[in-house]
Amino acid sequence: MGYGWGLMTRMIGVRLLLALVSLVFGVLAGLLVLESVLQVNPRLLFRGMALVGTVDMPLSIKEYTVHYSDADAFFWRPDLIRPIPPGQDRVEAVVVYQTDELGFRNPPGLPARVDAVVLGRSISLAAFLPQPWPRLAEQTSGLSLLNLSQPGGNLAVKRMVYQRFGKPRHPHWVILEVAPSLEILEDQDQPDWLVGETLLPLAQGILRRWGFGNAGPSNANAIYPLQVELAGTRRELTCCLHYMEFFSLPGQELERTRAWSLYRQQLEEFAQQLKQEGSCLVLMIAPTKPDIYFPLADLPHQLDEVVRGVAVYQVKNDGQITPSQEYPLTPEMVQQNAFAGRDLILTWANVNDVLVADATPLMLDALRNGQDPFMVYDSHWNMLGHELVSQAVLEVLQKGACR
Amino acid sequence: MLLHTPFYLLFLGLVVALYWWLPNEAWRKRFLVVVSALFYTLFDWRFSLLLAILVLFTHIVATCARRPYGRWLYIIHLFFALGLLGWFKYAGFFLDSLAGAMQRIGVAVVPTALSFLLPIGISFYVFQAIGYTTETYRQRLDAATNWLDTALLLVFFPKLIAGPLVRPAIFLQQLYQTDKRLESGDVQQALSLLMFGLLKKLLVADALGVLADPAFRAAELAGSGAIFPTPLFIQGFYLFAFQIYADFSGYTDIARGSAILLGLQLPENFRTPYFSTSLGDFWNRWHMSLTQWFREYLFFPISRWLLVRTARRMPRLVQACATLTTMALIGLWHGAAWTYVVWGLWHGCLVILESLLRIKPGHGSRLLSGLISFHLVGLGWVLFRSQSFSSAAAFFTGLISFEQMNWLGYAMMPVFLMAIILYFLDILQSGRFRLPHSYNKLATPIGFIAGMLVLAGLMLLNYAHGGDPQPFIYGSF
Repeated sequence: MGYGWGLMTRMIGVRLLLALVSLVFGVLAGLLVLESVLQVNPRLLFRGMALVGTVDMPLSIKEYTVHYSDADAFFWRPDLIRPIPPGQDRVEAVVVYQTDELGFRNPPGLPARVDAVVLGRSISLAAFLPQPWPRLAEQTSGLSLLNLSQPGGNLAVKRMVYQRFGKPRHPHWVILEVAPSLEILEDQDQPDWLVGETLLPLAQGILRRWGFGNAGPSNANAIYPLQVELAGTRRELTCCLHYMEFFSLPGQELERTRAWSLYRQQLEEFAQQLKQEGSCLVLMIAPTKPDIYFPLADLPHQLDEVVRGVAVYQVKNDGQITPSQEYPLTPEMVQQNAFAGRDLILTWANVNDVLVADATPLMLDALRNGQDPFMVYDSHWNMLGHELVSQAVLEVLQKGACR
Repeated sequence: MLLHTPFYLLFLGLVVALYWWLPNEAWRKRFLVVVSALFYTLFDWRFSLLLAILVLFTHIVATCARRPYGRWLYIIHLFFALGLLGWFKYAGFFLDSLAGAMQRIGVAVVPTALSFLLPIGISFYVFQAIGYTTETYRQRLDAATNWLDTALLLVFFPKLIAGPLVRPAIFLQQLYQTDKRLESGDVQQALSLLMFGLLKKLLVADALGVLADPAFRAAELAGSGAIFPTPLFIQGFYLFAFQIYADFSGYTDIARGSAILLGLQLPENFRTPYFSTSLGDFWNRWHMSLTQWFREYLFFPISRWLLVRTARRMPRLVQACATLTTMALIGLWHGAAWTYVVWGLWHGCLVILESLLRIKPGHGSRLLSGLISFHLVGLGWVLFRSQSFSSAAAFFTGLISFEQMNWLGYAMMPVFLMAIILYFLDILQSGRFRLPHSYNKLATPIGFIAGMLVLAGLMLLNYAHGGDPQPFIYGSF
């Protein structure tokens, strides 16, 4: 009896051990295969993930119409937006989205050498517009610009994208899109294992297919479109749905953050690398809606609803930031700090002899003249915005030499 | 319902459970015919009607084959079956070709636009029907007395869409067996085939093989003056060769695995074809059931007829003619386009050349002859996949233009990964690589868990993306 029991427990022990070993090695082998496949074919992944590549199929053409209701605002915070009345969901653009042989938004048949490479995010990609600014600049100037912009991704990712897809084309200019409020405080880590990075978007994708998150706006808290006096004109705005905490930090506080020092370090390394390779870095400041709308608000209290409940950042001695609800963010604070990030970048560029193309003054002027460089509901620039940016960038490129 | 979707696996599971629950073979056959019809109806009910007519007519012709009027019935059936194929698949192609030829001699003809919905799998079940009636007409096989057997020969759902074509005698023999049982070994074999099939389709053909498409699109765009890097074409060359193999052999594995779960064996269709050391060898390992069909019902009859006509004076010429005719028709069977015909002729010429040069499988260095054979087959695949001759020409030009070769490393990454995975799957499945029993006890569950994880991951990604699953390439033939 005793011998039998011992044998059985030993047997079970060995089998359990074998099962565990099989499970661990099986899972590891499976993950390794999946990771390899995702690395060579990022088209299996999701738009907006920080990828050294693109999710778009190379040499593909998609044609679509963009309505007000397609705006990212409806994706991020549908609860804050009043439903668009029937018949008023206007077409904002008809887009023919064509990709090159690498899957980026360029005409196919890329030349072996280009004059400039553009490293941007969704702003310079302009998936909701017929032409992004790099194409406009190309058409106006005759220069060849390779647009390697992709939604999402921090500076580390953009550098890797440049290394893989931009550098082999020996560009003279490397134009780096910089949206201070979106990226200075962003995590600057390099992308992790894709399998791990995929879990969250995968879960979101599945939940969305099951109908979660697709519910229409409840309207109970809907504040947009919000009526605001801007530069003497009454306008209906939908804006500023995220990253508003950034505007709680004045310039000197922002400069103390660890995030800025990491970001600045990345910028310095990149500028240095490009210099050594014979290319020239140009920073293209990408203004967002709060950067432009808030400074021109005649009656800041009209924007109270926009910042309601937004935390204020505090910078600790070690440079880490913590959100605090103690002092609420006010429109006046946003107005004061609207250019803090931009000024920090401009100062850094000046010290480091890096060229800057800044369309902020042009956009502010446009707004003062009764125009709007942004889409109605979406947070991105409209065609006017892209024309202004193209103008600002070409001005810098045509001035010539790298500093 | 595509065979690599979770919906099919659920359907298969239910069918298998109900099938073995039924009391006897008669009920099981009825059940299989019903579910096969249902399976086909899910694509388009009109196709089912067509298939039902073909089944009934085939059964009548096969049972009457030995009657005095059997010959006439056989001929009518042959015309009817080929007529169906010709009408649905080739009518537009022949009319367009005729109009093109007339235009060249200065006669302007605008052909009536003929565009029919192609009944899925028609090339397979029509050939299956012809094979069956031919066997009974030649008195090499007794016709099935029960129409359910004929129906299953044609419509058995795992093989309905893309084969493999079965030998009627062998398949009917299995249907006549009344003591079928599902042993644990069968289940193990079936699950292993299903897993290999799904991995080949979802992992190799769809997740990686899809990267071959840009090269063929580039070839189409090249006419507009755009210049593309040569590595893009090199990538497309290899990836499509791997994709088409993984896609079709994956289908066959799933079909065979499904059939085993229902107590039936379907023939092997591929035997590591890219390890072939000659083109002749390749055709003995690639789509074996179709090659066998053409050999049996076309190549041998043509050869015999020509040998008699030439009084056996020119056997090599006879063989060459029969080979070229057979290969051209194999090409045409794949699709209604001249590119397919030329693809067939390309293979035909290579097989003839091998025969003239007396190259046998394994002749000389196996590695070298294997590499040469693979690349010759690959060149054929470019023709096969291209939309037109001009696009194929642009592809070949792109391959030798040596444009922007600095992208070679980047372009070859998916090629190497795909080759490694496919090679690994192939050698595991072919049994060339065997671990000692004690190691195997550990390796099998590891492989199973890894495979399941990969499949689950890819299926979830596909589901979250929300697009339609990629159809099987051979499903459109």
